Amino acid sequence: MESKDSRAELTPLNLVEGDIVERVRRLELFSRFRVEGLISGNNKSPFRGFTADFLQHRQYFRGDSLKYLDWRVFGKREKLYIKEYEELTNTTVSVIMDVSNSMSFRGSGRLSKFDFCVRCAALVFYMAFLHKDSFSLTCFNTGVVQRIPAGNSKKHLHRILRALVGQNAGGATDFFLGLKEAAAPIKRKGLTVVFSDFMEEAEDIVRVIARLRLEGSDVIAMHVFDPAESTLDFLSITRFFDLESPEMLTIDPLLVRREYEHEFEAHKLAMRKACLHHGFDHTALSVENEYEVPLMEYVRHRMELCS
Amino acid sequence: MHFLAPTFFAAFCALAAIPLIIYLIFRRRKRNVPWGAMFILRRTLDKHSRVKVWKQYAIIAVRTLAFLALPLAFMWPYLRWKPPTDGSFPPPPSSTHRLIILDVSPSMDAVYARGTCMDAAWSLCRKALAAGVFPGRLDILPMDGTETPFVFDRFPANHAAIESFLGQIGRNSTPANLETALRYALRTFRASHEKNKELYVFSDFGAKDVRDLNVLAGLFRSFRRQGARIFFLSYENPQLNNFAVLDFTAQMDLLLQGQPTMFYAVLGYFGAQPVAETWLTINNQDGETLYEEVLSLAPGEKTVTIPLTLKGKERMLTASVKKDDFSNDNAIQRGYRVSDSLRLLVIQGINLKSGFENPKEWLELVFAAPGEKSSLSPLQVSSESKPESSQSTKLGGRYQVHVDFASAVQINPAQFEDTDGIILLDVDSLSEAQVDALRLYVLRGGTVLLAPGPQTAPDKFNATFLPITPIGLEAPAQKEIDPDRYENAILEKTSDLMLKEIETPQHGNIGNARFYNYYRVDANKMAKGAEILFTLSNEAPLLFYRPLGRGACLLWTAGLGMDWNSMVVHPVFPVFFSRLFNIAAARRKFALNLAPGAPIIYRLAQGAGKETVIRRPDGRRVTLQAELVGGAWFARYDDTLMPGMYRLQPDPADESDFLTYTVREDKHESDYRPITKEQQQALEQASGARFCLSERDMFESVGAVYTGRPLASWLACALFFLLLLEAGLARRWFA
Repeated sequence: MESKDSRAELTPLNLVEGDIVERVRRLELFSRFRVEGLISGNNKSPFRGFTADFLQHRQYFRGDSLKYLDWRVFGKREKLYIKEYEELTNTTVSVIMDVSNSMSFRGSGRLSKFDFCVRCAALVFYMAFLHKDSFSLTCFNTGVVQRIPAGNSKKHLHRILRALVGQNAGGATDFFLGLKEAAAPIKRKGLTVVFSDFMEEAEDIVRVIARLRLEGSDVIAMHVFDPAESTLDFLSITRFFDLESPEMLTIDPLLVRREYEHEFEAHKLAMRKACLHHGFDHTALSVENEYEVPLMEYVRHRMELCS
Repeated sequence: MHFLAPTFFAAFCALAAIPLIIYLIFRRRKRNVPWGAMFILRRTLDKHSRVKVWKQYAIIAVRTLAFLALPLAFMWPYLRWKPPTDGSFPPPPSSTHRLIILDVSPSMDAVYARGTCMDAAWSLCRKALAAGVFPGRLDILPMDGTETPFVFDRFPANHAAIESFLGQIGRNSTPANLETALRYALRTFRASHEKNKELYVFSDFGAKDVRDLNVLAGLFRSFRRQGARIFFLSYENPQLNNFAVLDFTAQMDLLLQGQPTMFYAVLGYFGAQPVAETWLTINNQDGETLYEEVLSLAPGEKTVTIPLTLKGKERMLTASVKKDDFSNDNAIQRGYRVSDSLRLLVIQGINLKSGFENPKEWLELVFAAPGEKSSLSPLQVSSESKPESSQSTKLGGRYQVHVDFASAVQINPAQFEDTDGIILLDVDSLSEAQVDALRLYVLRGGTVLLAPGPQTAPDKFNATFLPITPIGLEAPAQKEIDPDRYENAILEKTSDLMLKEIETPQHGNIGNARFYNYYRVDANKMAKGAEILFTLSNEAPLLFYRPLGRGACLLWTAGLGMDWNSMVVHPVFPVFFSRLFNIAAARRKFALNLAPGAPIIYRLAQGAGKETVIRRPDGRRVTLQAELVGGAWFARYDDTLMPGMYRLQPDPADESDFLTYTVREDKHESDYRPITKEQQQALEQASGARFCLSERDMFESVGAVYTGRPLASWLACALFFLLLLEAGLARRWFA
């Protein structure tokens, strides 16, 4: 359920402010794979250049410019090798956010899953803005609800933040259609961050996301969940309403608590396995009041891995 | 109310419904929660729903059971007690004092099942002993009024111990006395230290045994106040038929040979039929049948008159009826002495009259043998009697009458020794020594008939016979006799059936005799113990009776001659004397047929040994030492409470010579008709117990107050495990 209070105080300005800005400033959201950027940046480009970062030696072929010959190797071995360097470029950070009604669930905390996602996405956008990466936003439920194309200006950042603030969770979820439509415009290799609670079969979801990976994008599946929904912490018989459909279930939570928790953990694990299997990253973000903590921990961890 | 009674069952159902109702209410009033992870929840239910539904029901059931187990555990329930399947007595809880009041009266010999009531009662006592539990105690108190309990407390008892214990308890022929037994049991329970007290009464509960219902009810209430549980086992069988010979008597133990004698048999029928047929048989000791008659009897008692003429050889007569369900009282035995002679002494004062004007002449005719002097006597006694001489004649099987006539001045007290009766005719004066001798004679069992005639001076008579006469005489009622004015004799109230006989036509009917004059007496001045046997129609006394010692003195106020009455020419005259002196002769002998407790007294013959032997009905042999009393040796035996035949051997070495005494059984027990339903209900109400008609019934009654295995601990365990199970199923502790 969406928190009206948390939504009411949310503005594009206070989405990213205070000490969080300083803490985020030291973080970088790398793509683990080579991305196609327009300007130089911090991400590895698929295009080789002649910058400071040595990449490899390769055999000289006729027509290659002689200025890239490694003469030292020729002097030692009398063979011609071309010395290649890695090119660094900026990237496009595409945030795909699930805005279905299930994301509006709020447990005992201050933030709903959607609020949590909005704040995390804002941080991601801000980090991209700081590193001159382009960033875009696509919201989906059963289809694309809102799309803001990539850009890297401050104005663009404000536009996206306004869009985030103005977006509400609602409707059902159709991961196949929604994600497919949301991922369709992403043609260039970049970094795609998917915020969702992934309440669907893990294989079905990952199969859609995997298409992005196949196209060369690095994908991060941000699996958002509320600690309250990971357990059935009810003592009496309860009628559970589905947020996305008129369906309801009446059960004695005590009877299925253990199985439910097991299923919940199994679902997260299945998502993780599927993501890793398809070569992209997966992280489970627990909705907490200090929303930046889990995200920043993940980014820090990712930085360590990339370095 | 029992734990599994219908009321409890209803309460059980109501309690069981409570959690279900609560469940249903909560199912309707459940929380509504919007849930974000419905996908997970749905998938969980899809995988486990079938198991969960059953689990849910199981949990509801477990909760229901746990809910019920808790209050039930506090109700301290018990399993229903079940009687032992092998028919044994229900074992008591520990520290139980069981007291069995056992009816050992003769009525318990009635047929019951395949044996008798007593057999069944013994068997039940054996079972009760075998079921005894240590610590505990079992008393058996015979219901005979003796207050002698038999205590057993060495449980568990083996077979030998049980038989040894029961062997001490004897049968008793005395009537049942429930009240005494209950009083003793009450005292025993008051002194008992055992925790539980149970009173059992095994009896046929005859209506005659339960005398005062109010007293018994009060006693039973006292038992209840002590916390004693009471159980009745009645061996009654209303369908039983019992013919009983309640009594058989000739009113005396000495009979005259050849003398027709009326025997009185009191028969009883106690059964369910309105009229039952039986036969009465009289046999002598040789088995010879003397009398036989078929009788139809209504419930109750009936007296049958049987004329028998004994021939002299009969010593023992047995009256018996048809065998029935209670054989103890079907026969009765009586011993008799049949005498072949009767010795009388007639003492007459100075009487100058002769012929029929002298009363002696009439007495001679009465005691004369037929054909000799007169045929007036219906006794057909042939005796030639001469005044002042002893004459006797023995004819056939009839008895002899020895009559000694003597004048008053010639009396020799030594003559009294062998005389069965003395008649004093018109005697008004005797010496003091003679009167003392007469008195001693009476005290030792003799009978004196004082018959003052018209010549008697009342003053002299009174002065002379004051020590023995029942009453003093006054002047005659009439100075001149008017033949047209006479009175008739009427028998006053008397228990002597032989005297009653002479009022009947076949025995002369004394009421037909005319009495013209008589001596008046002051009836208010009768001697102590004296009574009037006959009166005249004007209520003037005719015959007085005064018991003195073992004997008696009779006073006939109308004279025995024909001066004042017509009796001497009446057929009743010889009958009257025959009866009177038969009674007198019997009185001189010690009784052969005794009431329980009456002593057996035997006068030893001169020169015989001083030891005699008694054989009791139970087979015991008792040697008696003779005692010298009044110049004669007597053997006396007092322990005659046990009914039956006692054989006295005057010579301990000679078993063929014996005298049989019978001690009458109390026929009270013959009427074993049970108490009425109303009486039963009154006892049940007072005692809080139920009359059981079978062992099984009683065991059920015993079990109804026993509690079976306690369930509280089991319920507590069940509750604990149910809670564990519920917690496990609901994943409270194991989740």
